[in-house]
Amino acid sequence: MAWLHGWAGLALGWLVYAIALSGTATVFKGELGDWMRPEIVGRAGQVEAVAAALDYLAKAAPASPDWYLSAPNARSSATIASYEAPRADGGRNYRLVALDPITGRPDGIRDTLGGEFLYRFHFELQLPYPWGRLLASAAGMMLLVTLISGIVTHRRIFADFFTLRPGKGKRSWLDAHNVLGVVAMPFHLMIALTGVLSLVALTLPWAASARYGDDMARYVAEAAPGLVAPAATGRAAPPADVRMMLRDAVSRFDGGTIGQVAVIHPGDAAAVLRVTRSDGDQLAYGAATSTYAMATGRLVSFYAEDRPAKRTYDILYGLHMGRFTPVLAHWLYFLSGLALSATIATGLILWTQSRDPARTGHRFVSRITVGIVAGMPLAIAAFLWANRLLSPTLAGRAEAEVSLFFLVLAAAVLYAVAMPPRRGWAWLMVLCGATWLMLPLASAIATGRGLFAGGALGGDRLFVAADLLFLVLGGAGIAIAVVTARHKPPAPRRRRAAA
Amino acid sequence: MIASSLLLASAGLALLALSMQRHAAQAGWPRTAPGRAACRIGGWGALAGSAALRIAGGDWPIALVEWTGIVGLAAALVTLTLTYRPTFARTALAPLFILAALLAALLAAV
Repeated sequence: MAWLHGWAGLALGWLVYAIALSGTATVFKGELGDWMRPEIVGRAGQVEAVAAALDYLAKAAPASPDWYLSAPNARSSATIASYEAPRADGGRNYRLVALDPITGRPDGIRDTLGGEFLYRFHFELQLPYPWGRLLASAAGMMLLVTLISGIVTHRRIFADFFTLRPGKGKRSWLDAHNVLGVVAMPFHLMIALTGVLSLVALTLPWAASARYGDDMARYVAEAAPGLVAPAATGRAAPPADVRMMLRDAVSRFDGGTIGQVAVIHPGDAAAVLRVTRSDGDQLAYGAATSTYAMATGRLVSFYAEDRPAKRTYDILYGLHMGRFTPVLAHWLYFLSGLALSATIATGLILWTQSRDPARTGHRFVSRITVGIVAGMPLAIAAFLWANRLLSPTLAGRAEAEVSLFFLVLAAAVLYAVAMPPRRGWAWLMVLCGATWLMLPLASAIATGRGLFAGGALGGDRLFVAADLLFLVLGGAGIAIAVVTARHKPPAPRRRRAAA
Repeated sequence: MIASSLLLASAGLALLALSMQRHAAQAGWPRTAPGRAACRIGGWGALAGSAALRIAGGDWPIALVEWTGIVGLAAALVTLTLTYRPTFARTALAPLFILAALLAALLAAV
């Protein structure tokens, strides 16, 4: 089964690596959003923040057929709103804006996708629907095949469970590949399986189409009875007291908090307000939904999922999303995600080392591997740098941040293709490490917050923690570069793992 | 509970490693000390104990997910210890058990 492990791993390995690394960063999606919007310093209660945001949307987007809000919480202090807005070319599309929790307005907050970009990239790969999701799904299936064939191929992984022999070239890469793969094996299998399952409605639509045919409305209604969406009447009606509806919803959540809020047909006499409980204190994805008639404030429906099949799916999906609250769980997801990314990276490097470097195809593959493995973390750092360097008032700056991510990734791959792999690897890793190491300083100069801005240790925990994490990541990058460059290979082109 | 669970998992995995010939030699595990079978039983026992500790911390579905991660973290720590400070895997065993027990007792008393 070794050939299956090797070839299946290589086929979509670059893609799986990019997906794994962006998914790892997405563990801190909420925190990343706060870090990327340093203008937001105030905090407000959920009911007040959501009510303020709804007031703003009534003025800014009265024509949108629906509004969707993520309430602020312990991990994210902005209210994130999305609504349909006219585009310059006459079409319409959904706009994502961050609203200040106190004023409910977006004024003065820099335009950025925040954590949303890496989250979307993780399963859409910046490709049009459905191609990105299909490709990500294929990559997930390939990861599953590679994991299972890997357990069979590396027969000694359990005998070598604790074995890491540094300084021995390819042997060390193989040890690192095995150890990283095996210590977080339950996570790797779980995340690959649930990742594929999260897109199963797209890849295996026949179960639903056999039962419902083209009647997608009935499918949605039966799959998610909590999502009440009446037809619009066309008559306008002012909203009743929103705060009262929100407080009533919270009182039904058994001590839970508000997660998402939606208004369907805002301004219409048939408008409804849907309040969904936060799923941050449970394993399952999604939670109870309380729906109110906007014009009267009366409760229309309260739905909590209790059908076993749907609960099972929600729990599997919840496991993938890892949104449950304990901070420790987020760090364990983050570390396990890094381990998975590193397992894939070391696997790709092993593939290139096990093959004849004289053949053009192999030479090309090994250079692109260097470019992508080192280029992805470099591009993520560039995305964060762009957030700090681009003027907060620049038009289209959210798109510019994303463009910089892809430009840096492309540049890294081009550089790696032009360089001998060993030298390309060393220089790209040094650059990557230095970029992360310098980020806290650049951030402090641009925002006056964080580790190097002094003082505010207590009040600015997120910024200090982020700076410390960036320093650790940068230090690790430099260490990997130094250790791999120092190793004198007995045969040409051998590198050694430091992870 | 999380900290004591992590300590106990590390001790358990260290014992499991010491039940393997290569790592016992690496760590300088004396021949007169408990044999491989005893290490193995003790190791699995400590792992079970660390799971029980985390589950006692409450909210068992999340506890199980977290514990899986805790064991992974402990395995990485034990591997790094065996690679760079192998004798530490032997000398740290008793303190790990004592610290885990003390912490658990302290938290249970509070």
